[in-house]
Amino acid sequence: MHWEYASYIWSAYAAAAVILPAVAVVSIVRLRRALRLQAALEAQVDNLRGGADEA
Amino acid sequence: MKRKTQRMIFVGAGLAILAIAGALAFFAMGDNVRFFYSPGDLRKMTSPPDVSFHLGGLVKPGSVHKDNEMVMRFVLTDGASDVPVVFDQTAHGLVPDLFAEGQGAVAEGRMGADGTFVATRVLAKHDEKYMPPEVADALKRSGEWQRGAPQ
Amino acid sequence: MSGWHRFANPTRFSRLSARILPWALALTIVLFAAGLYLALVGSPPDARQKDTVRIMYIHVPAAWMALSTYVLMAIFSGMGFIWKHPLADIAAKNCAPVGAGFTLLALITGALWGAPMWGTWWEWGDARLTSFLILFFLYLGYIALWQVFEDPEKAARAAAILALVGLINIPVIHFSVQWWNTLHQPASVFRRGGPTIDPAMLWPLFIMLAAFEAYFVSVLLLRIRAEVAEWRVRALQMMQAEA
Repeated sequence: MHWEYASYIWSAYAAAAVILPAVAVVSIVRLRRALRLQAALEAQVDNLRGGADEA
Repeated sequence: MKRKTQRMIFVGAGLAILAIAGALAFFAMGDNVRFFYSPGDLRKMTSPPDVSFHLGGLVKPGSVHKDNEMVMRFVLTDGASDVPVVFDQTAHGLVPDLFAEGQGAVAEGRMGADGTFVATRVLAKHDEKYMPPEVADALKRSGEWQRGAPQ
Repeated sequence: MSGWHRFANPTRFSRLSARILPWALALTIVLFAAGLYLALVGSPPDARQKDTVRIMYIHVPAAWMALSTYVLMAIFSGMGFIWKHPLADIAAKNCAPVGAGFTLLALITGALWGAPMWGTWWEWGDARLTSFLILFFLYLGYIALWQVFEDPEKAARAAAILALVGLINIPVIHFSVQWWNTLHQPASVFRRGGPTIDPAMLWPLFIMLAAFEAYFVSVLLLRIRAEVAEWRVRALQMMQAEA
């Protein structure tokens, strides 16, 4: 690797290495949380429905 | 369906009005959006601006001289008109690495009484051409090296 | 909340996006690996800029993506506005943070290039720099508008109008270097007469652009899926509350 590149160059790549993954990670975390909540709620609703059918 | 068509007309008309407004604003702003004046612009004026302004052009080949270690003189040209520039690097910092004869530069400062532009800052301009050093050398050797005119 | 039922085909979207996403993510990683190698190792320095030219491989794709994401956001906004399709509104809404990220990255890398090359980080009088900063504020304003309104339908309408009005800034950014004299150099790739970048630098640039493009598709799909799931969660919560 060309570690001798000036700090300006590395800073530009560092900015990319922070901003792009940050946006991606936030999006992934949000998706996982929403999917988890959705699954939990769907299970609850199914239970409610099941209970109602039995009654 | 009716509402949908209405909204479509609304968006279409809105974009059309926006385009017209934008075009009008563009023609109204016209020259005020310039980042720098060229030597030719300066010659067309009856008197140079009494404030600090940007002067941009090509650094005339062979025109860069140093009065001493820190005070440098060069000529900015647009091909037709020339303006001599003096720049004291002790007071205002060094010129950027990209600054070179035959290349674009923008100087900030005021017009002196003797017709020399007294720069307080010098910026280098890059052109739209990107090439490896070998290609540049080959172009220079074959004499096809074209010096980019300032845009 | 006029309803979940109007929300016609999120299921179809989820199925389609689930099929595209792994490919888009894999492509993002492969293209970035190749692009970064070419940008940092496998490409020559520039005759005048020397190694600083390597900033271009981040700056230029980021700037292109900032512009194209805005155009896409405006198209989705227009579709949402006219056809009242919530999926279009959601797509537009989720373009904004990604586009704002691209814009910020282009501004930062531009300053990092300008400092050693031009001799300045930022110049207020430059039309290209100023219009690009306006693009950043348009993205921020668009994101803020979505937060201001309680009712998502109203928010979508207000945000769509801002996105469409801001569209005028896109040609201004693109042509600023042609219409006015600027410190920023003119276009090197999308210009009449073909690119003025040596192929040894143009190829790495295109690979990086493809990597940014794949990244954008991945993140946008992830975000839309998340938002669709959040809508579903809200609908389920309302069902529960009513039961």
